[in-house]
Amino acid sequence: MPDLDIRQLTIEYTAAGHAVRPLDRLDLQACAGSLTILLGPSGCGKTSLLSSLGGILTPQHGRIRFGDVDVTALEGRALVEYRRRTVGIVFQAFNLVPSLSALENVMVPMRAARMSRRAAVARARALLDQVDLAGRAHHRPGQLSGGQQQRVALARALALDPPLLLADEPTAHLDNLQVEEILALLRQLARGERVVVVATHDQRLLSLADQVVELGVVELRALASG
Amino acid sequence: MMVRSAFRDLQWRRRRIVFAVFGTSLVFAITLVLTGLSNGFDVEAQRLLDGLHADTWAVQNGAAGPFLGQMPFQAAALDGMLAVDGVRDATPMVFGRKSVGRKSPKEVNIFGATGRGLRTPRVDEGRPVAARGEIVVSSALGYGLGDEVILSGKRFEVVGRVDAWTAVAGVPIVMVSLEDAQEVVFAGMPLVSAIAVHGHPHVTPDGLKLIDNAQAKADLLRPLGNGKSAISMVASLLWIVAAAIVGSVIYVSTLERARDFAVFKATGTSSLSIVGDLAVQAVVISIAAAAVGAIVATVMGPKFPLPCVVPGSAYVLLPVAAVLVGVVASGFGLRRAVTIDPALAFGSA
Repeated sequence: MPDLDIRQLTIEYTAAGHAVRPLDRLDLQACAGSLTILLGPSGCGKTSLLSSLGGILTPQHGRIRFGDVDVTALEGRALVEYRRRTVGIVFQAFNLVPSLSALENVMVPMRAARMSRRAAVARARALLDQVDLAGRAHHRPGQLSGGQQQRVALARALALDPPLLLADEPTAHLDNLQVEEILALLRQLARGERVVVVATHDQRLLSLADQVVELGVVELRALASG
Repeated sequence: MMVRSAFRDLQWRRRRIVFAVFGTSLVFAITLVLTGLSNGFDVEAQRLLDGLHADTWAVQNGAAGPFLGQMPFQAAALDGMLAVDGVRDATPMVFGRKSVGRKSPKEVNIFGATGRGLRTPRVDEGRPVAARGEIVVSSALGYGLGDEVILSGKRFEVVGRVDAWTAVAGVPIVMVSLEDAQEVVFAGMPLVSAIAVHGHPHVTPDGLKLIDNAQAKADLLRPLGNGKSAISMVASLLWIVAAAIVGSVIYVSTLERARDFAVFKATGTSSLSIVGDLAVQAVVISIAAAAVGAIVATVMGPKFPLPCVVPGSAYVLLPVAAVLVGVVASGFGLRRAVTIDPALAFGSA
C-alpha cells in the first residue's frame, strides 16, 4: 500500500528581499485510502507543499517518499513519469485549457502518457460520466459553470488513476451547492490505495478528513545585505 | 494530443491567426512577384531571341554582344559572312534605343532588318514590315494599325502589332526596315549592330567574332545584373520578415499560453511535446500564408509594368520554404516555452 511519508521538509524562497520559509522541518504521514487536509491561511505553505508532493517544486531540505519512490530524488524522465503516472492535481483556478473541450482536457494526461487516442477517448468519457458531465463532453471550459469546470479538472486529475491525488483550494471558486458536490467526490476518491491531500482554508472540509494538518506560522527573516 | 492542442489553439485565436496569415501571405506574394520579375528578365530575353530565329551572331571583334554591347561595323561585311561554309542565310541587323511620340515620348528598342533570315515574332495583328516608312510595334505602346508613329522625328505607319513585345526590363520593341533603322540609329551611315546567321559557320570572317544565343542573351541581361542582385537581396530580407511575423505571433501566443503549458508540464507532458505544439502552429500558419500568397502573386504579377513570370519551381519551393520559415519562427517561442515553470499551474486565476 503506497503511504505518504514526509520527513523534515523545509521549503524556502525569497520574496521582496526577505527569505520566506513557509515550511520548516515538517513531518507528515498519510496512509493509503485517507484524505488529508492541509489547513491554513494564504501564504502558509499549503501550495508549496502540494507542489513538492507533485514533483514540481524541489524542497531545500528533507525527504518525501510515496510508497517506494523517493520523490525528492527524482530527476529528468523519471520525474516526468512520476508526474504522469503517480500524481493527479486539481489546481486552484481549475486551469483547464480554454481552447480544448472538456473531453480533450481530460485526455491531456492520457495522451501525454502515450495512451492511444481511442482508449483515451473512452477513458475520458467514462471519467466525465463519473463526475456527471457526460452531456458536456464537447463544451469548452468557458461554456461550463465553475462547479462543472472543477469536476472536469477532477476528471483530468484522475485520468491515469493516480495513487496520489492533490487538490489546491478545490472549493475556492464554487458556490455552496457546488462545494457539496466536490466534497462528496473527494471523499469518495480517498479510498483503496489512493492518498488524497487537499490544501484549503475552507473549514467545511474538516469533517470529511481523516487527518487535518494545520499550517500557519511562516518564518520571515531579512536577507543579509552585502 | 499536442498536435490537436495546437490546432485547437489556432481555432481559439483564429482572428489573430487570420491577420498573421494575411500579413505573411502578402510578404510571400511579394517575394514570389520579385522572383517572377527577376525570372521575367530572363524569359523576356529568351522570348526575344527565340522570335528572331538566329543560330549565331556575328559581331565586331571586341564587342560584348549584338545588342547593348554592340560595336557597329560596315554592312558590307554581310557578303563575307554569306560566303562562309556552313552559313545557310544571314541578314544585317540594327539595334538601338530611341523614343517614340512627341507629347509624352516613350523609350523603345528599335530593330532594323532586311526581313530575310532575321524575323520578327509572329505578328499578332496586321503584317510584317515590307517597305520603308512602315513599322511593327509592340502592343505595349498602345498604337493601332494605320496609326502614325514619330520615331526620332521620322514618321512611320503602323502595319503590324505584336502582343507584349518587350526587351531589357519591359521596354517595348518596334521593328522597321534596315535602312530606316540605319537612318534613325546611325544617322544614315551604312552600319549594322550585328549579322544574324542561320547555320553554323565553319570559319569566322576577319574583324568579326561569332557568339551564340546564350552570349547574346547575356548581352541583353548585362545592364540588369545589379537590379537582379538587388531583387534577390530584397527577397531574402522578405523571408526574414515572414519568419519575424510568424515568430512574433508564436511568441505572443507562448506568453499567453504560459499557464496552459505549465498545466501540460505539471500533468506530465514533456517540454519536447510543447515545442512540437509551437512548431506545428508556426508551420500551419506559414503553409496557409504560402497558399494565400501564391494566389495573391498569381493575381498581382500580370499587373506589374515589368514582365513578371513566376517560375513553377518557385511555387513548388514556396511550401518547403514556408515550413522552414515556420520552424525558424517557432524558435522565437521555444526558449520561453521550455523555461516555463510548471509551478505556475498552481497560481490562482
